[in-house]
Amino acid sequence: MSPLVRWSPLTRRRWAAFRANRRGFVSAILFVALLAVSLASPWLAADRPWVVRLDGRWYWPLWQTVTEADLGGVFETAADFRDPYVVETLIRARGGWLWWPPIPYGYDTVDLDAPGPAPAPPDRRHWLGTDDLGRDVLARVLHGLRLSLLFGITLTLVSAVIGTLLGLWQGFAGGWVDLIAQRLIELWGAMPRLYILIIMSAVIEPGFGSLLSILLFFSWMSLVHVVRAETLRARNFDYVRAARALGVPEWRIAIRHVLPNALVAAMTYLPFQLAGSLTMLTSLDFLGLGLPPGSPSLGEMLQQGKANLHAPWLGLTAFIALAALFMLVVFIGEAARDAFDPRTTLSSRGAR
Amino acid sequence: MKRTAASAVAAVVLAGAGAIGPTASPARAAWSNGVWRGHALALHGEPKYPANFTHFDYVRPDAPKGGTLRLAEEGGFDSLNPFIPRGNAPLAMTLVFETLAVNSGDEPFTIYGMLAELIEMPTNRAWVTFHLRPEARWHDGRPVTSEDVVFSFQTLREKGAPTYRLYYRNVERVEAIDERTVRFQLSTNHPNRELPLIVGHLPVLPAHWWAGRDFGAVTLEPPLGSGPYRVAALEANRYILFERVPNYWGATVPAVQGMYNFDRVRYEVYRDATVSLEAFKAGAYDWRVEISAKDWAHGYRTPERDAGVMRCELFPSGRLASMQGFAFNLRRPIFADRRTRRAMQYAFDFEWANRALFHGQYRRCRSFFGQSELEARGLPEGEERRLLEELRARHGGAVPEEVFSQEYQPPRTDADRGETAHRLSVRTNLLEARRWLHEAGWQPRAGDGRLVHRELRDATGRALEFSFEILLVQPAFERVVLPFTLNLRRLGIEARVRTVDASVYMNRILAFDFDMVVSSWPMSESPGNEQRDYWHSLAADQPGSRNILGLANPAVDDLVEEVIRAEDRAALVARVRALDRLLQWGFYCIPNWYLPWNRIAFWDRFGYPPPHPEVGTHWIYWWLDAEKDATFAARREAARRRPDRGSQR
Repeated sequence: MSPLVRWSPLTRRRWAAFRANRRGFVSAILFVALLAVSLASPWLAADRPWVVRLDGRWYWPLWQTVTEADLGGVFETAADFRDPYVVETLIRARGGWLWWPPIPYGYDTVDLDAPGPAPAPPDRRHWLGTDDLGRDVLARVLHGLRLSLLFGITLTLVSAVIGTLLGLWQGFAGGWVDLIAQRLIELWGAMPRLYILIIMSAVIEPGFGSLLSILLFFSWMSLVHVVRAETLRARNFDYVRAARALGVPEWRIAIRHVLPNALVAAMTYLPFQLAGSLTMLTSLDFLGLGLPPGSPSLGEMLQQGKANLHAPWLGLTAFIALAALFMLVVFIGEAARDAFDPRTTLSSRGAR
Repeated sequence: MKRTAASAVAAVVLAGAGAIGPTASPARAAWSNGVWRGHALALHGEPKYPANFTHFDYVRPDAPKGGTLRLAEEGGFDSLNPFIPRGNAPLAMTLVFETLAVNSGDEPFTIYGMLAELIEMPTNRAWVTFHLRPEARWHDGRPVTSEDVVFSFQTLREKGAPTYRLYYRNVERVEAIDERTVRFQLSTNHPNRELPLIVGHLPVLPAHWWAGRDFGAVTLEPPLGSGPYRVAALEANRYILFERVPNYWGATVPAVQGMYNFDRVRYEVYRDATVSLEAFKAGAYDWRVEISAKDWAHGYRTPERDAGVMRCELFPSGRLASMQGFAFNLRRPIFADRRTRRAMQYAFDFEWANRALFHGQYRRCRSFFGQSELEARGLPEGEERRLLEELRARHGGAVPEEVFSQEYQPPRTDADRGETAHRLSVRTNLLEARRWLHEAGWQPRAGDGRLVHRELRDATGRALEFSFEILLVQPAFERVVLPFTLNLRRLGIEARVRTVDASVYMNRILAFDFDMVVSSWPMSESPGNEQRDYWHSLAADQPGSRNILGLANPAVDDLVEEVIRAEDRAALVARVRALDRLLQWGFYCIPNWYLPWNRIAFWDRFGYPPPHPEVGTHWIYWWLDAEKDATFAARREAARRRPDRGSQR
């Protein structure tokens, strides 16, 4: 139904412009790859094997709860496959076998068997070393990226929807509605958001959902202005007036004729919005006010890097992961902005 | 003193530096006609130091004076009045004020006259009289009088921190008998051996200076005191500079000989521990108590240290190692059963934490009065056993059977004997835990193995689930607690960890709204009244009391009263040991660890008396070593330029 799905010539030209921007295009590919790898991290880095074969039966500990009692042990809770009793006595000694993921540590697996004190430097056992609890840094970065990306993308999309609808309404209705809503947004935007977030996270028990809603309180605003401005501009275009003259209902005009224009502006804004969401989450985690303790988070790893200056692999890993992520997102954003810019799109050469 | 309540729960860290009693001269101290007259007053028996003593054993009496000592304070301050609940005053404000008497560091509990030269007390302890030294002066030159003492007492009780009200609850009245004699009338309804000594800890404030000033208000005006230092300069939340008072009146008082040697003491405020450590290494301040095992092991790798210009030394930190542990809130139905709490002891792998997280620097707590003669060891004997048997006869089940038959030891794991042995020992412990949980009525739910109770029901009438929250205020504890929750998860117990900021934390502690917290129970060599606040059932329902456990055990109640009433040291020791046993076998907390040393890092410019095994150390009796100081700058420069700089790992 949306005209963006049908590949209009304009869309095709924009896509070509985006592709022509090498840096942006490569970033987009890398970003998608990173997203895919991090989304797969629960299966790439886990402290449970992919599959266990024992007594002619298959067990899939990553997809089902396999208790120790299932394997012939005692505890009725999920089996600890890092316990040599489970692996050696219950499985291998009875002719069974198991197949581990490439990184045999989850984000919360404390490596109880590491020889030295935590944090331990990178070695063959832990490619990026361990943090100050003895957890594998590589596993935590992967899981951390996944959580950050999921969080950032969700936050961006939800605030984009809210922001677009509000902006559309404001711009289309104009007059008093617009005036009052604008002033309210200015008031709301003038609030010191970091402090409010800090206070709220002291009252509300932080979790993925609650943190998302708290951050949403403020992040919906950024798109309103863009969409409103576009709408204000578009509502007096000839084709809009023509549609109105033909008796098309207002809401329909808004959705059919005005929204697509506004969306173009919104789209170019999204990558930057994503980068902003990631920064916000990371800074809250860094301050210890974000996700609950134990969650894989890049902010927490930065915090650990700060508290363990003698363990540079912590700070460096978190820094490189975040810097790379932001860089990709910003490059994509720039390319998208250029692609949507009529001056570059309509010129014969495309983008730089 | 104001901070004791807060620091008991908030600053539970890692066995801190013992309080050092800074510190007086009649010819003889003795009982005559049922009245003690002397330079000092001991809780039990006679003071260690005679009336003609010249200094405490753990100081160097002729320590050279002079120089500046720069220190750091973490947190910040916005007030200079440490006696009121409002505002944050620097801890060091005690340098400005003096008390009637001070503790010695190497006795269980004896006070020596500071502002007072003579202390009198009758055998029934119905009153205590202090005779002020005629030479005692305020910094403005006016004499310290008994009117000042009366003023201080009343002001602190009316407008001071609630602690003072609690401390001096049983003081009936105070009267100035003459210019320099003041008498405290003590209530005889509540026999309380400690009270006369605690009265001696009363800070004395100048009545003439406070006239016309509001005592209850937060202020940054440097207050007038009589102590060895006064505030010379400050900037709120940045720094405070103390300077030694010229012609300090107390320079000849025996109890402060060899102390307060620096001309200036400057505290720099740091908000962040990492920054504070780096600032120390950069030479921004001179002397630092390290509270982190990790930083002690890794944080001081500098060429200056290799060259001996910066020194990191361990000083034995005194006798008594108080208990720190994960405290259960017994008000919660899930923790009401002793067997449940016993089971949970097995889930905390201290040996691993000590090896992997603490670099092996800590020792496990097993007693509430560790490393002292008050600690319960072996099996109860003699008077102690008689007491416990009497309690058992009176209260039956309130006295666990194991008290008579076993020595309490927290569960251990073989963290140092290789991977497999360690894992197996953890497993053995968890199996033991599982057995106790089963006995306490917990059973795994089909499907996920989560423990639910066979009989207990939650508010909605469903079987009670074993799920709770560990409330933290120091993020540093997360690394200790998370592996513990993983072990609990294996048992089918869901433990969540939540770190909150200090104000939320304090409110929840005061309202007893928590499941489990890290708590410590600071103890002195001479347990007394505070035991009522820690353990008595009356305190359990009193919001804000220190019975955060919610402990209400009739046998413990009786024993606490016996401890407070103990007439001599031998009786006290027996009773405290019996109390220790009841507390150990009640499994009221999962014991953590203590540090048997003070970790002190300092730049090599100072001298200090030989470390005293019972006292630990404190900068108060350190001094600037002129010889070391003369070459210090050159040595430091040389160390920095050494070719192997930074090569050490």
